[in-house]
Amino acid sequence: MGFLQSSWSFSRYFVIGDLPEDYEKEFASAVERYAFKNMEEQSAEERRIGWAGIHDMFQTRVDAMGFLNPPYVSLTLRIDKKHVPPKALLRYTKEAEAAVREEEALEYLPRARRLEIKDAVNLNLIKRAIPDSAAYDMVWNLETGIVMFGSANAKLGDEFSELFTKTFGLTLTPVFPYALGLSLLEKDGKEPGRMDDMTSMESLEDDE
Amino acid sequence: MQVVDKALETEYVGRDFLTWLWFKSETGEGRFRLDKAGDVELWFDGPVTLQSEGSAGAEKVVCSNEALTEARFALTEGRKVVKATIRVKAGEDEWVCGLDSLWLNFRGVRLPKTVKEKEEDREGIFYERAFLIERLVGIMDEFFALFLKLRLSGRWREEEFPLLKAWVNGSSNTE
Repeated sequence: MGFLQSSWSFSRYFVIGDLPEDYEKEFASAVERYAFKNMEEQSAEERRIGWAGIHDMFQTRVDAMGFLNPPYVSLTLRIDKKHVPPKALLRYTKEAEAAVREEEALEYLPRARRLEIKDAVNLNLIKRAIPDSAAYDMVWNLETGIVMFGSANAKLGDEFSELFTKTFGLTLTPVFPYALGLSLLEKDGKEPGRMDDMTSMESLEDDE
Repeated sequence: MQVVDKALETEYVGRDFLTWLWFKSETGEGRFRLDKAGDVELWFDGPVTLQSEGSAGAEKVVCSNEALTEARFALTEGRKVVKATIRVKAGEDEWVCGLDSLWLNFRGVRLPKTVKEKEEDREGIFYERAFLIERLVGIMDEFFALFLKLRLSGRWREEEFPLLKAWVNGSSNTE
């Protein structure tokens, strides 16, 4: 589910750092640099990541993405992955082993050789595989400095943060209750250290 | 300290917030008046998950919203709310979403039915959705700010916590 669909799940991040003065121009060339590029045919690459349009994950031309709608920057993080089904790998590996045994008149193949064959088969199947595409939307409010990102997965969040920093030259830090509290106290001109005065609520069990 | 470690160490902030929010919603018939958002209704809608602190692997208790007695019992056993689905209404707009205590991520946000799909107006659709999602986020942040203000004031110990405890133990007058 995505930002433009009927249901959306997202995590939030604070953006750390100031926007460059000429951000509209700078961001356009940065997004183009890190825009998603299709894997070459017959490539052994298993995974590729990059930016695409939030309206269409197959739109990777920056001039057509429509990523800047002030005060928002909106993009989708597209990830293409190739996957070899385990049963297919097993089947083709067994066939390849049988062919090698016949060709070399061997009754038995040592483990190291079997692993070599398996790797070679896997590589061949990866090259032939058609990638699956997944999209995770991002909406960044330039005025509030908050990014909403369409995944709560920690590993994916790290990958997203890394690409965001490479692209925009700014750092992301996740929003969580304690951090949100710090931010709210700072905005109110109160001492952020007060968050550390808060301990877990006492027992709710009746004393009687 | 890594962010994840800090989030885990301070998860009690989120648990206390969600537990307090449930209490406020139940005892105030779900009606609130917020400074910025104005008149808002909020109620817990669907299963509520409760868990003891410092026990990520320990047994979770999932209670349906109707099984308040069961949920209150879980609260007296030291469990607090770690996950809940809430329904929020402000003016003509109504949202449903899930919240978790660790990150306060928004899960499965369903927007007001007023959002129309006008395929030819991509920009219009975008801005409408951004406005409605941010409105919901703003409302929840305002609830959190209210909780924080109370929690860090003398009023918590003197007024709010005793009422919360009375509600949990089924001895409040608002039942």
